[in-house]
Amino acid sequence: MLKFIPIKAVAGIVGFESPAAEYTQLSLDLDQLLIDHPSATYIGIADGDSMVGDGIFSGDLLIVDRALEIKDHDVVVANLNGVFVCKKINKSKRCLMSSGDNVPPYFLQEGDIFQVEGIVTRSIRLHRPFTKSL
Amino acid sequence: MYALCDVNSMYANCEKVFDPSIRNKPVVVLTNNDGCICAACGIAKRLGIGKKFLPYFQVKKELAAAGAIIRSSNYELYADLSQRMMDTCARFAPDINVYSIDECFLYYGKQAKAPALGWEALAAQIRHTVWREVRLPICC
Repeated sequence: MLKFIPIKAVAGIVGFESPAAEYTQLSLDLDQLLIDHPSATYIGIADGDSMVGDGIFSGDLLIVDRALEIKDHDVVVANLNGVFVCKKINKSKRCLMSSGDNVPPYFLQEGDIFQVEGIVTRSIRLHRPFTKSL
Repeated sequence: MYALCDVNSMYANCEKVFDPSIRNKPVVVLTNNDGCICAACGIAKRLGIGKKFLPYFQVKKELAAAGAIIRSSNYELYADLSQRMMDTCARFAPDINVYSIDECFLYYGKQAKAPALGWEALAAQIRHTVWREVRLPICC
């Protein structure tokens, strides 16, 4: 079942104040809905199919929050040896897990440059491509 | 009590936020039209290259020999990251005065009581938070 986000509309009655006017909400703002920490949130674009098991496909938008505490099995964006990667983190085994077909986990080794950049809190599918250039 | 928060080599470190491949390399940022050097990151400074305001053409060879990454100024990027850094710092004090693109004063009042964890630990917490949330190294 599709659930709609309720936004109340104003009835356009002239000469008589709409009784619905008091219930008007501000128009929906996606930033407000999707982003909890504006000053610590970044948007990225997924590249590759290694995370399809978590519903992240190549070209999806990723909303990355840097303010959150990392928990085991979070989907994160991390800096691995100078490249941003999107993986699921397993802290106890010190490894990065993919969820695509036949992608083995990556075990962190000594000498690896590794730093979690943020947690992927949302991913957004673009069913039609952007009409504006980024 | 005041706190002064200042980003280390702001422009050069901003370039590293969205490009992890240059995080461990010497980065030098040039002024408008690539005329002079206007910022060099800590790694570049330690190598003794990227002295501020030197004309680029004079040190071009030297920088290339040291493997420096050269970037033109990208003011939109710096303004965005500056705003994020200020918003983050502002959470730590009742009053903030933005002094420049990379510096702000936090004001705690004339006879401010030290926070439970102590002033120094609070400053460390501010530094830590800005690094974690904005990926900019600051002094505070």
